[in-house]
Amino acid sequence: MEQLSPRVIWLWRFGSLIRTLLFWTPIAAFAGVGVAGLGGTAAGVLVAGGPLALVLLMGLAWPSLSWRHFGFALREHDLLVQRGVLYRRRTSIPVSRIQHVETRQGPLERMLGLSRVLVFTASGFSAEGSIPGLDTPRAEALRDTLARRGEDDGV
Amino acid sequence: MSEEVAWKRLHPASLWVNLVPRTWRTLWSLWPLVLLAVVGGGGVGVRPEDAVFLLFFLVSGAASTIVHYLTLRYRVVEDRLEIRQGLLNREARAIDASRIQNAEMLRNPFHKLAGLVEVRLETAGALRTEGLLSALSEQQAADLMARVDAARGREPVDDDATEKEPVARLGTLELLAYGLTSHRAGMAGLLLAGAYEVASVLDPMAAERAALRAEGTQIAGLVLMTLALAAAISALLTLLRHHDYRLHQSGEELASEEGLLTRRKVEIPLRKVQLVHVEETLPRRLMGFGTVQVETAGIGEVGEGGVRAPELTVPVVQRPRLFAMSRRAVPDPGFDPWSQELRPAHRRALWRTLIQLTARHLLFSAVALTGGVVVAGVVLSLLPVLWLAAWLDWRYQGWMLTDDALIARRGFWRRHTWVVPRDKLQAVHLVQGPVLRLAGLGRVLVRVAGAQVLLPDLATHDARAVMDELCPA
Repeated sequence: MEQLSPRVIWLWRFGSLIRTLLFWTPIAAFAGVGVAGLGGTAAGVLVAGGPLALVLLMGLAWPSLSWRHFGFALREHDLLVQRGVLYRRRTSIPVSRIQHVETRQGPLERMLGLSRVLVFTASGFSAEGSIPGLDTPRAEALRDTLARRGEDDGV
Repeated sequence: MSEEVAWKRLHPASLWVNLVPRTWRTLWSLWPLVLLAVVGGGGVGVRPEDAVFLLFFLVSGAASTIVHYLTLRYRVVEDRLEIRQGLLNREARAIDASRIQNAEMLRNPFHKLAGLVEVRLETAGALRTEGLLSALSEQQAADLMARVDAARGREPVDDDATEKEPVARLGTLELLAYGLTSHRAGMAGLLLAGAYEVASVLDPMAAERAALRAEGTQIAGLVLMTLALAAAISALLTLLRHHDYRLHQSGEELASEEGLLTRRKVEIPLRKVQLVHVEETLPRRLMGFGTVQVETAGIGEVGEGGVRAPELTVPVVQRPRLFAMSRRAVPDPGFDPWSQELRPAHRRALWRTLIQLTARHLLFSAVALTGGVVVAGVVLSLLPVLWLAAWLDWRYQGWMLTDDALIARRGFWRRHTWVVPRDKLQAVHLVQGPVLRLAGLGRVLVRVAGAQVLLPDLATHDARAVMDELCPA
């Protein structure tokens, strides 16, 4: 199985940090202030800081685990994608069924030189296969290879 | 070349043919608001502000119908149907004829009066009917279909001359059986709630007194009466929708025709069929029939609750004929799931479900303790019933993989059987959460265009084998 670029770990860590700052920190602060009013400053800091520290720690560690469990293989007849630490998903997409392939880059991905490859079939369930965090030249090569291999789409 | 073909427009009667059904549909979709406007606000009658609110929706609907008629143009150029429409947002669509999944011709009572037809051409994966021409004269519709058929490489079909093999014809009694066994518990609930709401607006004191003084038998009687009313409404709607149901096969095409007020005719090329879904609820099984649904990749119509409805439904098929009927729509799967034993779900799948169910129910009972020991006891006493339901559901799950098809079955109360031709698969997923992994199980999800089928939980190695078999490396 081919692995993603290790740089994607930093991309995911950064995404997790942003989510923590924008979502979890205000909630923790709100809870902390509430508890501090009832049980004193120390209790407030503990209630706000404890879970927040845990979320931050998870945000640092989880991307490494995700990277380790993510793999894909372009085989003769299908594209195989495997992902997930707790919830594992293994997807097989026959290459003959691929309708179109896209590469996408957000600002952070551009900074890190990474791209996502999205594979669409006629199933109508958004992108059937998604491979994030590939070096851009590798993503483009994969996109071109997959896009050229479509045959009978079975529809 | 494309400039030489003249654009055509809808029949002028399109306006009134579509205005009344459109207004009715708007009122129907807004019925809670209409009910609130009529009986709300402390009395019967419509307040001016409510009337303006309702009028806004009605006028928007009417305006959209008028714009649709004035701006829609269509033509068939080479092998594609081109449609353009819109006033502010202009749209131009080119539909490749080879991509058309199924063609549907519809005639509501107004179409019939004006001698018109609505043509719907559906493509794969689209979120709406791509080719909707709401009012064409019969001649226009016939010309259009002939040109689309020619572009699809299909021989011109003369409805009278073509040999049609009758496959099914349903009478009133069969349709009544179908209507009475349709799932209408939701409708019964709505009727009950609506009736109470109206009563409490007309005479709040009397309604409250009646609700507080009602005894167990009275409540049970009321519920039974509402269920009977819902079943009667369901039967009536079924008769209207499926009246004089006929299914026939002409060569490589299945076609159905049905409906009393709105006559609906659906044609499906067999090569476009993605799967066959057979629904056998317990009452239908007891009465010896099932319902066969044939699905293509077209969007179909949006049914109740927004769920995508199948393109072609055969409401009543006697159990001994279910396999033969499914074989008409998809290639012979080489296995008859109605007379042969399917491979069962894994035994550990039952244990996993029972443990999960018990843990959840114990938690629920603990919460119910806040309402008193008696309430918690009642909640807890339901656990054996849930165990039985889980066992029944597990017992009747099954699957089979043949050279040509994948067959899956789930459910006891509402038994579903899917027959999926293997050459229609779009992707296969193997999903394993932590509990499934702990139990050594895997869940295989198979996707075809526009639908998906979940297999029963299998041992991990079996699930991997199925996946490898369906999608060889």
